Amino acid sequence: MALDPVVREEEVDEKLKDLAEQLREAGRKTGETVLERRASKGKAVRRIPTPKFTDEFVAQARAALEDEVKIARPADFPEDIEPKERDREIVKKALARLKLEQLRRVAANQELDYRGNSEEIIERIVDALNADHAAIARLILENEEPRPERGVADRLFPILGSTVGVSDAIETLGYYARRYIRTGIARWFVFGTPERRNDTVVVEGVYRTYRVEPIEDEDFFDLTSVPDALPVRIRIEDGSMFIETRATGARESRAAAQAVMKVLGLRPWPGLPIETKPREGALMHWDHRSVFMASLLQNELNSNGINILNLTSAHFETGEAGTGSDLRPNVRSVRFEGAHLLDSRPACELLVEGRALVGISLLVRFTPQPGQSFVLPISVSLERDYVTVLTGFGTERHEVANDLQRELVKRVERALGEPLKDEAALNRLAEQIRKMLRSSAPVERAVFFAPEQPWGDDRNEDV
Amino acid sequence: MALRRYLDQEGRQLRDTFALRRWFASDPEIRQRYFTEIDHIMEVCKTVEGDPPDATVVNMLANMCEADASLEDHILKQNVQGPPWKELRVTAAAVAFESFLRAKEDGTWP
Repeated sequence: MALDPVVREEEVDEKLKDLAEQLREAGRKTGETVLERRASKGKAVRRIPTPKFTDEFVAQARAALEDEVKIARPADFPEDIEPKERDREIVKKALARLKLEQLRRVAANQELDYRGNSEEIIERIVDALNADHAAIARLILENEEPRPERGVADRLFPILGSTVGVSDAIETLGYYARRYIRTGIARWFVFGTPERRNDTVVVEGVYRTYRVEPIEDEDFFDLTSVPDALPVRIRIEDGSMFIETRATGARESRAAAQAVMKVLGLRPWPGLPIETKPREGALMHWDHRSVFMASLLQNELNSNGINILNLTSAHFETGEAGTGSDLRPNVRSVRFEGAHLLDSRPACELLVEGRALVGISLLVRFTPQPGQSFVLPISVSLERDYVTVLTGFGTERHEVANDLQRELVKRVERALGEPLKDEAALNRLAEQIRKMLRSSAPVERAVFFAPEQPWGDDRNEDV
Repeated sequence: MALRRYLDQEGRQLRDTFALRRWFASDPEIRQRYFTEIDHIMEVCKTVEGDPPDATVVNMLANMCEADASLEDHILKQNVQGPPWKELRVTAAAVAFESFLRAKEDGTWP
């Protein structure tokens, strides 16, 4: 009879133990029969005591069986789950935040088999590192995509038709310090006291909102509300055409930007101030956001102390969202993850088809001064009415990520609102991409925004 | 259809170094008894999905190899200092299992 999909641990153990004993007996009989025959033919027979591994064989067999049968173990521990099993699963869960491509990269770096699905690769990594928390944590931080909780995120909200003067801004914002305005249903923004730092005004504020749920308990009805208070730092530079917000999420950032614009009498730019209109060549067929991103990669993210090591994700908008009412299938966006994505056919096909490249994640080498070099993950994404710039902490000190973030924000702001820089070089890139798509030869080595040498071994080294 | 394989590169190397295929083919009794026990393991450990995982079969069969004096004799004859007994028993079990899969495929077992 087949094993049930869920079996109690003691049942499996008993079954496997009995089977192991039967197999040992069969082995003994086989050995005796064969050796008797050999001896009868005058052949010498050798025997010595050898180590036994029955328990380990049974444990391995049971572990493999767990792929198909769930083993119900006694919940006899302080937190129910057996501590060793719990610790191992926690380590696996930590690794599960890495994407398949990232896991493959980690496995390859550890000289492990990188084939299979995420769970299989995670098992191999955990085994190889003996489920060591410190080693796994380091691996994750070195390889994960940047995210606001583990990095610094700034959002740049463009202003329509004017720039901000710091003196006027500090006076007006000071007038509203410790006051709030409502920014939506059960949403408020509370202004802190503005502070002047050289040519910049900084205001710390709080976005307050409530999650509200109707509840019913027998015949009793009520509303429950759970408050949320999210801090936002607003930064306005003298003469800038952007309101910068630093916060974890988009909704508090948007509320803060709207509140500050209202108070300062500013209007948001409708969309994004992208002025990169190509005048000729293959680039003319690209979406203006793709042109902006390519220009950013070429002119701002790969020069003067910042070098691209790997383009690890590319996010494209592929069409308008359908309502679903006409039953027409519709894909609104596609996100590619991997390595050196501008050398990949699927990503390049979307570029030349005129789809909009609206998000990129990269690993860059940041060299703030000669002799110092750091590898950090960054991302830039173009939203409907703002741009997000994000630098992950990686395994570096937070100050390093902050320094890089400041530099990135400066460069992205510079690129926005400016005409296309070095259009000839960008057109050469577009032409190369078109040629690559026409060629039937496989791409063996990344060339677009890739370093000349593999960089895997030189993390954190002094240059 | 390509035959299912169990041994990886390392396992195949161990198999060849200790000539474990030669051990398995050394006496028809070995083939007969191991194949019978593999059928037995398959029956006892089968799941609602079908056959048990290969690693379950091989590791259970390693218990048989551990008690089999013919395998011990074969390994000792190689004159290797401190042979890796545990790995050798699993590899010998895998040799038997791969042979079983081939025999099923060829229709020579049962």
